[in-house]
Amino acid sequence: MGGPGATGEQISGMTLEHYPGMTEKALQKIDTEAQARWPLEATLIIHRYGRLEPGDQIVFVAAASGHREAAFEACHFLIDWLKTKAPFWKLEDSSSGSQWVDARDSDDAAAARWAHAGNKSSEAAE
Amino acid sequence: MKILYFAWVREKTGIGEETVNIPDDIRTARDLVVWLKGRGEGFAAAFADDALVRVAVNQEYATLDEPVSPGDEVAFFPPVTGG
Repeated sequence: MGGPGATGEQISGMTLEHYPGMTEKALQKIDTEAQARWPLEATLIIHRYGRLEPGDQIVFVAAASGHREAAFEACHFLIDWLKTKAPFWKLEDSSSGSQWVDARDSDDAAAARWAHAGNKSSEAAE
Repeated sequence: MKILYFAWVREKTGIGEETVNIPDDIRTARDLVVWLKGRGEGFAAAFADDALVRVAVNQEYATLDEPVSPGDEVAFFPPVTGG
């Protein structure tokens, strides 16, 4: 975590809120969907919550497969979907106070690439 | 009914979680929002724009047309911003 925040100002910290119970279920669903779409040996999703300081890592996704294309696509899928489907909310602190981060259309567009049950949705823009 | 509020929705309602007896005529999440709006200024502000608030029923994403019943867990929150 670092760089300018939603308001363009330097952020001094962030608090990540989540919905205990639903967040875990949502992440599990995303993982199950990835396993259904690609031939994967293993996957791992780590998402931190609570108070984070500049420079702290927020999220980690990994996918292992005998086919590198499947591993790369699955990773893309995991991060795209968790950004738009896992209940987390970011509250950024900066010199001008705290600000809830708004959802971004670009994240929705990235998630939409995987809308179809198949792998990458070919007609969606890269 | 257990109702939870997250992020700025909670800040406006002033409540994170509550258990309430809802009126008998509430059938859908939309009916619930209409009733919640009448519970005070904070609630009216939180639900001022239906498009800005998402809903989950029993920890599953839903739309405002989703049926709700007294034994459910309903949550209201802004679009998610994880990752």
